[in-house]
Amino acid sequence: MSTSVEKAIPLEYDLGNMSASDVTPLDETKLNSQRSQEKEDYLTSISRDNAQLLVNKLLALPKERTADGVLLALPESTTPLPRAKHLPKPKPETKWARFARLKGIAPKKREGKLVFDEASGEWVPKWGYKGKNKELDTQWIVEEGEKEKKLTSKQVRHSSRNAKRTRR
Amino acid sequence: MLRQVKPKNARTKRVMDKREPKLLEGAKIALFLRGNATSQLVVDALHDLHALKKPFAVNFQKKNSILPFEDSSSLEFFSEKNDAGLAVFASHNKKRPHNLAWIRFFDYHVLDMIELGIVDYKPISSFRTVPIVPGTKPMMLFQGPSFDSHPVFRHIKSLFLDFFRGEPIQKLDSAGLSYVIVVSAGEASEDETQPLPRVNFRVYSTKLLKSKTNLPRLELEEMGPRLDFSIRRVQAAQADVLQEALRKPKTQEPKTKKNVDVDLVGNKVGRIHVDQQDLSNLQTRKMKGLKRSAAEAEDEDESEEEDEDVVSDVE
Repeated sequence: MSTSVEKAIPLEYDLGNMSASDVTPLDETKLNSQRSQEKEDYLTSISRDNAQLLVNKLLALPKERTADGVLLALPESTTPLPRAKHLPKPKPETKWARFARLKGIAPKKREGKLVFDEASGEWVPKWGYKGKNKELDTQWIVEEGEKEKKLTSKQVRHSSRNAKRTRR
Repeated sequence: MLRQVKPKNARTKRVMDKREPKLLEGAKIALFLRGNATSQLVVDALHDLHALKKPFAVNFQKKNSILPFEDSSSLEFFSEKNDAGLAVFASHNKKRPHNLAWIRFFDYHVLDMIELGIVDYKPISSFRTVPIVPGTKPMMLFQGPSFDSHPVFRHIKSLFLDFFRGEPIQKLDSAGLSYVIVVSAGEASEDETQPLPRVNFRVYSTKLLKSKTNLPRLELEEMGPRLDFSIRRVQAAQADVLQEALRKPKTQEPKTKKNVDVDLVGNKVGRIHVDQQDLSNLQTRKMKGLKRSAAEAEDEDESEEEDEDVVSDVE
């Protein structure tokens, strides 16, 4: 079971499109044969050889082993193919975008819901189901003086309301 | 051009943004249309091609009285409405039996068209293999010298590559090498009156078998459809439109500066080119002490006179 193929003229590969071109002339008698089986067998054998070469080239590409399987890094395609739409015209930068670029302001990255809890050494949600903000409500033992230190969720809500009132 | 729709809610705005031209395009959507008269064979072939093109395909069931080579306005309307870059139009009449017209669009206008008549057809259903997962990227092979030399065959190669290649991807799962589309054609004769050779379109599913080397041995099993095309009318793309369509976006790579290098130690070494110096206007160092003032010049003159007197006395 050989995996190597001898070819007089090497194929032209476009690995980005997973395609190859064979310039070797085909046997006209076999192609135009009246017996379709002969024609199909000939085409299948030529196709198998060329496909083998293409697969060999594809599997020679740099690989990346992941949990899902082996991934091959495909290069960019080399054949020029016409686009469906014209190239987008570059839009003028908005006033904010220009300001942010000059000042070096980067967009704020979303923190996400999980927060690292030192005590348990696990990532717990900041709020919501089993949220860390409700810790004090459900704790069965509360140290003296802790009530003043940490506000429970109810107290936080009330304090914000008070702050709004006093601001006026 | 259709009337410009101004989005009134977020959903329509999202649809419009999806249709905006992008730097990197995805797979082109293909429209499958039928003409006023169709044959069972050509409709089945259309159905099989639709199966290969899924999910980037739209299949229309109704008949349309369109003549692609006479009036393409209807096709352009369809292309704009469905955001399609490709179309296959099936028709059948006495003069052109089992006809498929393959059309490509650029900016919703016809770019180029080619008519291929089906001479031989074997549907997918006649082959006993497992059908492919729609959306898989196929491997493609073009066999025959004419695909590089003859303009019509180059058109066919470009068309089939564009049609079947699917979405451009960076990383391919090695299990994704599941099927291969092979297009073969004999050599076109020098004589232009002779008909062009037939185009043989085959689709095989691959089987990778263990071999003694690291690489697997490939075996092909025909999966269908099996189509033999004869080339009929061709409408090539206009040169300027094609050039516009083939334009590539400006790459964002940082240009490597010439004459600047990093040597072995890690120092940045460069070469600076300076213009030639004008030596007549050089600025040199001035030594003030060496300057001859007016008083000094007088003293010198006096001393010269005294010398002369001494000489006359001696005489």
